[in-house]
Amino acid sequence: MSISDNVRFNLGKGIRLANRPSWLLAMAGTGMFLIVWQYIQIIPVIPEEIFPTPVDVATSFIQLHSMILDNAFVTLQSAVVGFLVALVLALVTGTLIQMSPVLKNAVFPLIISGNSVPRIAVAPLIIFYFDNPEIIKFLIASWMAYFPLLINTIEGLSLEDSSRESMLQLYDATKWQELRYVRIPQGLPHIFDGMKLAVNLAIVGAVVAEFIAAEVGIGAIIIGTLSISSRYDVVLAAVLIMGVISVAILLSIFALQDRIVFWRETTLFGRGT
Amino acid sequence: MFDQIGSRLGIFSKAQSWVRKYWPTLLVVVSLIIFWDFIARFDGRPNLYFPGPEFTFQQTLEYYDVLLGQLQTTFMEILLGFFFSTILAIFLAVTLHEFYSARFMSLPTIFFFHSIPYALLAPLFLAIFGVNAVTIALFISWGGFFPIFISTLTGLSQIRPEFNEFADLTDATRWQRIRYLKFPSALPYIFSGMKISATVVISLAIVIELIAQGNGIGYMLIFASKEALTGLLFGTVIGVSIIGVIWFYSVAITLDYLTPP
Repeated sequence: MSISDNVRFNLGKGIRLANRPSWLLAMAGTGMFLIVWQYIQIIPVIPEEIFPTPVDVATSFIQLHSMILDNAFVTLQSAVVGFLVALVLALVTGTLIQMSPVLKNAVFPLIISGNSVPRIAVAPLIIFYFDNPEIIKFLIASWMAYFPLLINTIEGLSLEDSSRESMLQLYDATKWQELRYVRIPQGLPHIFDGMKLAVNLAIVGAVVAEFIAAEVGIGAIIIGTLSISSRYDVVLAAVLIMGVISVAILLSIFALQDRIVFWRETTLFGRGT
Repeated sequence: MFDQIGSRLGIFSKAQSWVRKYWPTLLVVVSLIIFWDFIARFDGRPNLYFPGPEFTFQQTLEYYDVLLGQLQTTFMEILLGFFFSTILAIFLAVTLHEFYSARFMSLPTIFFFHSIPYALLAPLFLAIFGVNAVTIALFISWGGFFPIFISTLTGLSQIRPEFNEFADLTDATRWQRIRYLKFPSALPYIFSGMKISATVVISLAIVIELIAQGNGIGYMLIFASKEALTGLLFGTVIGVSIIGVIWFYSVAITLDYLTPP
C-alpha cells in the first residue's frame, strides 16, 4: 500500500495533478525546499552565521569531504557491526523464546515493557565500565538495535494462520518444519520492519557513544567543531551526509526485502513499532 | 461495610489473578536481582566499582532530592515537547493530506529528515538555541513529530469508502469532511502514533541531556559516572526505566480511554 493508492480523486484539481508523474512533483518540492532555505535569510531576524545556506553547506562539504567521509565511515563501521550482531542475537533468541511457551510466558511481558524504557540511559554505564571507544560504540549500537529486532522477530514468528496450521497438522510436521516453511516466511516482513528501525537506532547508539567517549567518528567531529568554532555549515554537512547514508542503507534494506519477501509489497515508512 | 469488604476482596482477587498470570515474569525479575546481588558479592571488588542492589538502593536514597528534582525537569521538558510535536504533526498531516501535490512535493524532504539519526542534531540544537529547557523541548518535539505525522497521514487515507459516498451524497464541504469523517476515522492511527512517539520522546530527552551538561536526568547519569557514584548510576538507570514504563502506560491508558469505541 503506497500512499498514491489511497488518493481520492474527487476534487477536480486533484485529477489533473494526479496525472503528473509523482517523481516530478517530488523533485519540484525538493527544489523549492532548497530555494526557500537558500534565500530565507532575506528575513532579517535570522542571522547568517547560525543559519548556513545549502550552498555554504555544499562548499564546506566539498572542502572537507575526505575528513567528513572518513569519520562517517568510522561511525558506520561500529553501527553496522553492532547492528549485525544484534540481528543474529535477536533472531536466535527470538526463535528460542517463540518456540518455548514457558519462556515466552515469563519473558515477553518484560520485553514489552523493555520497549518503553529509554535504553540509551545505559550508555553512561557502558562507558563507565569499558575503556576502548571501539568496544563502547559497538556495544551501545547493538544494545540499541537489539530490542526492536527482538520484538519484531517474536511478533512475526508468532503470527497465527488457521489454514496453515491445519495443513501442518495434516502433514504431521515437526517443529523445525513448522518454523522453516510456515513461521519464518510469515514473519519475514515483520523482521524487515524491525531492521529498518534498528539500523537507525544503531547509528544513534554509535553517535551518542562518540559524543561522550571518542576522538574519531561523526559524533566526535560534530562536538569538536562546535566546541572550538561556530562552523554550523561543517556540522550541517556532516549531519546531512549521515542522513544520505542512512537513507541509502534504508533503501537497500527495502530492496533486499523486495527480493527476499517477493510475495508482498513494501511500504515506504514501514509499520513502525 | 459489606461494600468495603467486597471491594477489598475485589482488589485482592484481582491481585491474585495478576500474580497467577505473571508469576513466571516475577520469578525472572526476582532471580535477576538475586543474580545481580550474587555477582556483586562474589566479584571481590568493592561496591564502589560494581555496586550490589543494597548499595545501589542506599546511594540512590542519599541523592533522592537531587534525583527527584532532575526527574521533574526532564518530565516537564518531555511533556512540553510531546505537546508541541503532537499539535504540529496532526496539523501538518491534515493539511498535507488535503493537498495532493503538496503532499508529494514534501514527501522526499520529510522522508530524508526522518532518516537522519536524531542524535546527530542534538549538539546543533544546543549550539543554535542555547542550553535551556525550551531547546530540549524543541529537540524532543523534532523526534516525536515523525511517528505521529506518519501514522496520521496513513490514518487519513484509511477512510471507509461508504463515508466518502455519504459525504458526496450530502454535499459535505471540505471542512465538514475533515471534521466529521476523516479526522475521527484517523483517530486510532493518530493515537497509535502518539504511543510510539511517547516511547521515543524519553530517549531523545536523555540523549540531549547527556551532552547538554545542564540539568535533567541525562546530566545526572553523566554526573554520577564522572564522580564514580556507581550506586547512583545504577539507581538512576533503574529509576529512569521504571519511569519510562509508567509514562508509556499512562499515555497509552489515557489514549485508550479517549478512543471512541
